Amino acid sequence: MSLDESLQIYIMESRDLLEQMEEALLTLEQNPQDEEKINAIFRAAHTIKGSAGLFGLDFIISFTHVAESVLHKVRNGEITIDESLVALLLEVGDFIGKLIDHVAESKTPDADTQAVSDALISRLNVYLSAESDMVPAAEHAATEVAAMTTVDEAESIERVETDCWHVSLRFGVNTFRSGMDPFSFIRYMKTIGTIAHLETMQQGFPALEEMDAESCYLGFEISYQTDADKLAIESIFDFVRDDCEIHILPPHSKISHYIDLIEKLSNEDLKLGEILVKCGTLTPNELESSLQQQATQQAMDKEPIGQTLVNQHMVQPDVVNAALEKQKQVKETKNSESNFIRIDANKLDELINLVGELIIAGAGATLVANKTANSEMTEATSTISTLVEQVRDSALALRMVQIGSTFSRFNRVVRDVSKELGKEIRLEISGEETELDKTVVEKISDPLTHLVRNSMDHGIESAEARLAKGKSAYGTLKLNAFHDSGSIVIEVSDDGAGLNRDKILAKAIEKGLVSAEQSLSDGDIYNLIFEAGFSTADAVSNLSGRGVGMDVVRRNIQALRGTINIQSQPGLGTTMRIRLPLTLAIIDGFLVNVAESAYVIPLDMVVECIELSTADYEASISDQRDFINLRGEVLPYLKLRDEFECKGAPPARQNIVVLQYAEQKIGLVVDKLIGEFQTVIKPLGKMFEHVKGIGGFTILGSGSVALVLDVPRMMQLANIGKNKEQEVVGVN
Amino acid sequence: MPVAVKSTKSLTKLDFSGELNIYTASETMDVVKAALKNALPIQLDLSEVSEVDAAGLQILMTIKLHSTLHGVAFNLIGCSEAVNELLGLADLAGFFGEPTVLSGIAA
Repeated sequence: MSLDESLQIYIMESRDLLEQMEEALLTLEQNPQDEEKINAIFRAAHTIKGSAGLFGLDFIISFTHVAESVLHKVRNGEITIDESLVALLLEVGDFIGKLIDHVAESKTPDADTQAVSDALISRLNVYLSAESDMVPAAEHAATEVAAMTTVDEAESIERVETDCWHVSLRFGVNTFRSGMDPFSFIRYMKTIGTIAHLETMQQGFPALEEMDAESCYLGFEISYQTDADKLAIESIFDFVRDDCEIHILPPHSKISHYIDLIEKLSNEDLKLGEILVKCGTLTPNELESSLQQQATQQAMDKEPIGQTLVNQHMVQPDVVNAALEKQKQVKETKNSESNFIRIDANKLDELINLVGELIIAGAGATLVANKTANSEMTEATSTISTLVEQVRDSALALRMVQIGSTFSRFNRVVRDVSKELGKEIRLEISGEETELDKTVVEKISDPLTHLVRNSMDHGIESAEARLAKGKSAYGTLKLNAFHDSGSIVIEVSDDGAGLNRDKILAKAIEKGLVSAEQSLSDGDIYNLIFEAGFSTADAVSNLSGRGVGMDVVRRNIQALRGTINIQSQPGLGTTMRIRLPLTLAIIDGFLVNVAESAYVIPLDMVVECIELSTADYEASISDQRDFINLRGEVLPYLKLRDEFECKGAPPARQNIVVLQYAEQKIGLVVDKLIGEFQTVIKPLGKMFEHVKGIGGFTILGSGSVALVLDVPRMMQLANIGKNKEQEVVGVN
Repeated sequence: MPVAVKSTKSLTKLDFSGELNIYTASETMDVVKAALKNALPIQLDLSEVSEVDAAGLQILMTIKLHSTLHGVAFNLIGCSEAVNELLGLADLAGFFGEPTVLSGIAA
């Protein structure tokens, strides 16, 4: 691992930590007593600071240090958490995020950043100094003395004399190759404490002839004076923990721990004992007694060492138990960590591309097998294609992420915006376990933010207005997600005033978007707010000026082959529903033929296939009637032959493929049904980008090209919404 | 070249200069290995070393340990700021028998 890679990991981890910190802060705001959350925040700040030291990111260290000091006081109960502190800490978190961004772009902070930093630090310092004002000095001193006495009492059992930590380091042979410099750790240790004594080990060194200059043979025994706790000291070595031997003994440790240490590094044992004396960690007497005990121990070899020491009243059983418990915890967290691996997204993309090629090649093989009519061959290829299908599914599943993390980010957005607007708004999240493609998640975040802000700004009324209407004083914003026929649906709904149909219509007419004579359904009118340049004048606020208009929202969603629609009930609220394809790369397709050309329809949308009866076909020619009676329901259809202007006469028997999308049904008239087909969607070239109704193409086993139909666009083409509103309502 | 070998009949003199770190370590080590085959007293001059890291320190330690093992004399005649700083950090000044007086002059 190079230093660059470690830095990338640091950046990623810091961002994760900041997210956790933000989440914890938001919980704290509701429930200030939650100690676990306070600890989580402290740990996050601490780890960010600690790891920053390894990379020499001084500007992060110095800023985070102040925040950490405040958090330390919060954790000790010296400062109570209140709303303004949470707000400040949220800002601090944001600012650390910005500093991390600087690191990511390998920039150093400029004067502006420094100014923000100074301002935040001085606000944090208020908490640091205010605390001492609140507690009268005398009383303060008294508590301190009292605290010290208790400590003394606790420490009075037999322990070593030194008040230093003892850190024993043996760096792994690959430390240099991982881009680490052992001395950077030592230098960092010096920033959070004092190194009372350091001994560089000479034991591990090979003879000159065998020395490999790029392997690391270094080891240190360090006597270390610091106020940091064990976790903090451990976290210094986070980046090398895996391949280094690290032992940390707290001040006044029991002699037994030193025996343990000596045993663990037993090939050096006598020498190590001497070094401990040298470091001032042990007095010579202590060493002697511990070595003696070790010898007796080995002679008896019956009782575990911990037990012996307890028997000799050297260690309190509680201490041993606590230590064991701690060890177990550390182990458990490590185990759960190892269940995940971070993978470069490009590697996944490459895998999926390869799977795509495999599917195409597999289809070719199947075709050849069918031609040769060799039954064994056919069987073999069908087994292969089943497996390929499974490989495809699991490869795609790798890219799937839960939408929950995107949703939970909105806690903060809702909190901030509601403060800004002076409205009380609660966020309800459901369906957070719904999974969708990672690339889709990334691209949906911005449009979603805009919709949420929009709902809070324009949708939800002020508390007074709400009370006047007999609603609860606080507004509710809901985020929901679920899967529906091969797509994911994301809903943003509010219980606000609903869209004002007449106002939108008047505005649209004024802007010349529609003419006054046009008769429009409610849905059509609501959709007008997605038109470029549309804004109801009296509703402009600083929130709307974020540069992303509703038209951009719609364009972003369409770029993902998705759709958005609005449902609104005056006085009760608005629901905006985004519908997106689950994946952008590979789908199960349904292959059909029209005039010698092949087309693919996403299989998830296909409901059934029926024959287009001669009577219906004739009616469609004579009366321009393009719908049929499907078991008592009206089913409008499109003739692909006409749609794509195919030449030649249709075959005697034509079929209708019945599709369902977004609660609407539509039929497509095709010449021939071929069957299921695994489809690798390839994007169309720039020239064909604007061809309506085609979403991409794919390569068939025979090597020929099939076009992938874009069903949502086809439905728009069919204009079902406008002319057949009544019938369609009847269908469902 | 991070190390120049200036040997006489009775002395192997190694003059280190520039960067003595992980990037030059492998190359430096090859030179050192070849130069120390003759078991003559060793003299190190580190006064021109501009940068030294743990990998560089390891080389110096290996040379010193080699001299102790084979019972040849080891003499450090000059240290740059950078070397002094690291030796201080690693508390190895005594190990190398660092010429405090000389380094004062060299610096």
